[in-house]
Parts: sequence; structure tokens; C-alpha cells
Amino acid sequence: MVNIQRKENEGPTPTEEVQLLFVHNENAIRAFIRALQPSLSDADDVLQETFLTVSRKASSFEIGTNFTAWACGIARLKVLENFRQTKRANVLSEKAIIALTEDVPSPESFKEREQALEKCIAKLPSKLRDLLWRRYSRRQTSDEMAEALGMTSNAVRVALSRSRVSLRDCINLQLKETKGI
Amino acid sequence: MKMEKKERELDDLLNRYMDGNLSEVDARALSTQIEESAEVRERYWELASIHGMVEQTMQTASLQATTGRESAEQEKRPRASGLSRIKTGIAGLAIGVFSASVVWAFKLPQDNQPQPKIEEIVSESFENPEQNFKRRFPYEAGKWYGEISSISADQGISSVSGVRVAQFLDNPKAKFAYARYLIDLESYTEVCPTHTRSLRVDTSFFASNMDQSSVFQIRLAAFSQAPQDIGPIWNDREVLFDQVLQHVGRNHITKPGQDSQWHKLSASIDIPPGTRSVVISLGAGMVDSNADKSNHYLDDIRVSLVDSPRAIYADNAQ
Repeated sequence: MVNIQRKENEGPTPTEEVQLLFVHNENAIRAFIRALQPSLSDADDVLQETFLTVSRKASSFEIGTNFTAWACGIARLKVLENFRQTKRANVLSEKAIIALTEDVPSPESFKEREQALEKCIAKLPSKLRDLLWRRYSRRQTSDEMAEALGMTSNAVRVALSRSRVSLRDCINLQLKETKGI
Repeated sequence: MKMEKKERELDDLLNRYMDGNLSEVDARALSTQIEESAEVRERYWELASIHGMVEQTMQTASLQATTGRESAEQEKRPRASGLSRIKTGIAGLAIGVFSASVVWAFKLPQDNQPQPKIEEIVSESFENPEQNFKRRFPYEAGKWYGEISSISADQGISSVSGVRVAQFLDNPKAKFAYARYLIDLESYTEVCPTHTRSLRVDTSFFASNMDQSSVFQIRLAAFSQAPQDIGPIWNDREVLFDQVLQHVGRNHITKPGQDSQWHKLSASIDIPPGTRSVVISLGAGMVDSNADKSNHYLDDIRVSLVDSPRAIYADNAQ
């Protein structure tokens, strides 16, 4: 586990500082990447590439400014790079991705939504929670879930879509209530 | 009414995009809508952010799966918040190590609790000079494969263990060169029902060029399939994430100008119920692929099965 021996009173280097910031803000950065990148495996690669670039460019980050915004700016370029490399036909156009990243919600907004999410998941019917768990934790395909739960694949896809829409509506409602709108 | 229908159709398109089920024609149509409408972009972000956030939340829920709980609906123990989970991770990390797919929310056993049983199942320091490593993904458990060769530890490189080390060879097809190994859990005693099992890998990496940053990587993945049925997963990404039960990745980046030294790196993966095989992938490469190259070396790999009493988790249940 020990990989770098340092003198006791030596402060962290810029690289170490941004790497720790990255770990602290991993959830927000990952959520940003996953929102743009539907393939789980590609998102994982983009996250790793982003981490490497953030480490390499550590000296250009000004400590005290918004780290998540800076890292998401790098992540956006990595998503575009990945789209160009993989050349898949069923992904969004480069122009659409650029338009989306220009309208990206603030990191604070991501955090607010994340906080609201937990309560909203708890409000979902247990069957839908189970489906989300199978999809996002066990990485099961619709066919596998259908077989395990005695449903059709189409019914699984519809239920997953419905649960995501329910969560979105619940989060929006919660945020409205919190802000007294 | 018309507006509601349009919104429902848009939600349907967005959901299909997020599930990877969008046709080429639909992808073009969705792209056009996103390019032209700020409202569509806002709706995209509202739904798409759910996708990433739920994934984070459910990854934490996978911890319950490894403790034998088969469904999220049985979950009663409050989950660690994202932040505390990461902080727990940092406590176990040395500087510069990053976990890509994390299940680090272990509770350390207290003194009065039963201690985990640790069995070392692989110890490799590449001492056989005749050993040839096939440069391909493993198709058999219990052997090392990949872009490596056993070399004598001299010319300024001391070994961590024994007198030889493995040198990573150039891998023209990828940024990293890899050493890979498959564990067949059928070869080991079954985990006791009162315990949970994890697999821990400890190893050491070395970079010859200390003027440039190198990156060392450990990736571990658990599968229900037998070893011979696991394909070259890292070359077929869709297969990896359709079949994998659990996945952990860790990187360590060296600092330019640092003294030459071996970098010791460790990673652990919880073994979910139903796991038959575990893939161990050890990689090395340059952070900047345009930088001066470095030779990379590997030595003293130790793989252990760790069986921990489930009571550790039960004590925390409410």
C-alpha cells in the first residue's frame, strides 16, 4: 500500500492535491460523464482518461477555484474524443454533445439533485428499486432481468424507463418544495 | 395534451439512448432536437443525471449483495453516504491511487470480533527463466499471460523477491502492456455461509525512466462463468459490463523526478455470491503517450482469499 515515501513536513504536490480533489468529487464527475456517455464501459474509460489528464494538468488548476467545473471541462473533451474514436452510429452528434455541455447544470445543482435522489429512491415501489439495483449494480441486461423476474424484456425496459422518469419528477418536486417555488 | 405527448416521446427517446437501444435514425432525430432546443437540453440533463446518480447509489448497494442480501428491497442498514465511502477509501489509499469502481466501504474488525481468515493462493516472482508467456487473454486458470517476459534482476534493477522480475513488453495495440491471470474459485474451498469472501492482490511495479510519469494499474473482475468461457473481456467492452458481477480498478501514477523505487500497490474485490472466476489484470504504461518511454517491471505478486465473518455487517444493521 505504501508507494510514496515523503518527509513528514512536506506538503502535498499540486498533482497530489488535484488527485485527492478528484477522489472527493468523483461522484459528480462520474455522474457528468455517465449523463453524456450511455455505455458503462466507455464511461469507465473516459473517467480513467479524465483522471490521467487532470493529474497531468494539475499545475494549471488554481487551488480554491471550482474543481468539479474544471474537471468536467476536461471530461467533456474526453467524451468527445471517445465518440470520435469509437465511431458508433447510434450516439449523439458532436454538435449535440457540444450544445449539451454548454448548457450543463452547475456542480451545485448536481449535488442538490443527488441529495434529493436518496429520498426519491426510497419512495419507489420495491419492484422498481429491485430493477434499478439489478441494472446498475449487477449490470444485468434486460433479458437477464426478464428471465430472473418472470417478465418480458420489453416490460423490463418500460419499467426501467418509468422508474427513471418517476425519480426525475420526484427530484424536481422536492427541489421545488425546498426552494418554496 | 399535445405537449404532454411530445414530452413523453422525448422521454422515451432519452431513455432508449441511455439504455443503448437507440437506432441510428432515432439518434439523428434526438441529436437534432438537442441541437435546436434549450428546453430539450434541460430535459436531457434532468433525466440523464438520474442515470449517473442511480448508478453511484446502486454501486454502494452492491456491498449488500456481497453480504448475501439478494435484493435492494431487503436493505435495512443505512448505506454509507457517497462522501464517507470515498473518505473510507482514502484512508486505505496511498497518495495518487484512484479507485474507478469502488466497494471500499469495509468496516475494519474490532479487537473483540473474529478475525478474517487469509489464505495466500498465488505467489509469483517470475523466477523461471524458461517460462514463456502467451501474449493473449488467458484461456486457462492458474497461469500468467500477457506482454511480459522473465528477466534477471540486474542492470540497476533490484528485485523485490527472488533474483528475477517480469518486464512489460511493448504492446503496440494499446496504451498499456498487461499481465493477466485467471482464478478458478472451484479450486478452493467454498466460503462458509457465515462469512463473506474477498480477493486481495498485492504487487510491486517499477519504472526505469523517472523523468516521466508512469501509470500502474490493477483491475479485478468477478464472473459467474468458468475460466474457459470468459472472453478477452478488455477487448470487448460490452461483454465486460454485461457479464461482470463486480469490478475494481486502481491506478497509481509516479511523480517525475522521484528516486527509482518499487511501487507497492494493492487492491481488493468483494466476491459476490455466484462468482466462479476472477480476472486479475496488471497493467503499466506512460501517462503521456508522447513522452520518452520507460521500461516497466513487475515483481512479487501475492494473491489472497480473505474470508471475513458476516457478523461484522450484522452488528451494524438496524
